[in-house]
Amino acid sequence: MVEFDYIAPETMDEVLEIISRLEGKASLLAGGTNLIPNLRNNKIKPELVVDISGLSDFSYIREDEEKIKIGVLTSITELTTSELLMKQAKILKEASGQFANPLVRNKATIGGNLADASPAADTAVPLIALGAKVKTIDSAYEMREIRIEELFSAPNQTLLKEDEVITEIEFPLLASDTGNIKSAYEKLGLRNAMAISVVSVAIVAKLRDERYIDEVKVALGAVAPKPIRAQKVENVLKGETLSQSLIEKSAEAVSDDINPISDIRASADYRRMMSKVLLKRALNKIDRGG
Amino acid sequence: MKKCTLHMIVNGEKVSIEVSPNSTLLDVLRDKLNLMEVKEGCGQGDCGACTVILDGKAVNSCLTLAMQAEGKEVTTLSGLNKSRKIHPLQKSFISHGAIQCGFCTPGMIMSAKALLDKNPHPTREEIKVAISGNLCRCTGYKKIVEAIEAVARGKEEKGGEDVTA
Repeated sequence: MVEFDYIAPETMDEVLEIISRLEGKASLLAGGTNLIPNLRNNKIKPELVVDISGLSDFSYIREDEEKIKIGVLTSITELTTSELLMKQAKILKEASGQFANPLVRNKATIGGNLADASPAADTAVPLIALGAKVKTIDSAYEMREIRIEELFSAPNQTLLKEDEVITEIEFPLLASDTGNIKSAYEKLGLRNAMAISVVSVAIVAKLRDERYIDEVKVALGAVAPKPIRAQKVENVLKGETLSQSLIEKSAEAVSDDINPISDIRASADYRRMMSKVLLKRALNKIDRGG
Repeated sequence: MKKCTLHMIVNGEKVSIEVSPNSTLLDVLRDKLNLMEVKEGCGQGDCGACTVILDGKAVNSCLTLAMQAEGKEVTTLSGLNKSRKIHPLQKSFISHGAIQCGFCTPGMIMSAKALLDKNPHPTREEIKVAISGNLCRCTGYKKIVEAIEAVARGKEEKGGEDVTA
């Protein structure tokens, strides 16, 4: 393990002051499920590890002003057990339930999963489909909002500045799977537990008269340098009536949205093929009522 | 690298100890406190051999910096038999033959304990999910699940005999 100093600030003000002073030589520790292996394998060499896991004010899931707001340090386990998410964002709860394994879910946080910016980040895919944003603050107390699909710049890189942290994740209230809003999530891993996604798909659709697609957001993970929104697929679906031929047509379009690589988990060809399969499965789920 | 002082409660006893900031909780439990039941398998959160209960939650101690246990309660396998009796889970693992090489056993039992503390009567599926972060390379999963199920159904409620007997 690399050598570093350790500090556990009690307030966000202290955190911002420290990371601004250290100019990129500090690493934030939330759940640590990615950070600690990276420290151990000498992938990162911070001078100081800033443990933010004790900032209890940043762990919550609540409904406020027609929005769902999730604190940056909310654990994945908390997402899986939330009644509010079960009602309002079933796909985020589902994705969280398939995230790594229960031991990791107890520590890993939603903010850590996003800040780590893996192309396969499991919470990012449903969050993109839900139209979520992150709220951030920097050491000059400037706040901004970034849409999840715009947060990632490259594998394991975000747009966040050295002195900027995520404070909250927010998305509009959908009352998902009630009335006209339907959603679906599909993940393919090499096994059930502790599996990094080979492909994952999330869809949120607003339907009229049962099958007419008013609005739709489609997101995919692990098939591009970052989790993506599939706009070609959305264009095929939007303003059309859901049918088997439309589902086939949208599956053809997904190839233009993705740019997969071959790695130890799967080949690019397999990912291309499975993107179509998972997209069709998710759309069929929506067709059957979400 | 400045040393830090760590205060925690391990298996019911207060501990104050000087640690390196880059020590994991696993390092400290094994190397400083001699709790050899906490195993190091993969060292990166894939295998669960290092599972301990930290403030009521089962976690990988290899993915936890020692300093993150500051002010918290840690329970390892030997914390389950403070009363010198073996724990019902331990007894059930033995009677069901749920131990082969034994390397995964302490972690398996801690994951099972954390589950039963929250949900005393889990379904078979819930048991499987609860131990899905613990790998058994002897692949004795069926007997492990049965051993946990027996405790959940109250068949092993009495616990065992004196461990020192």
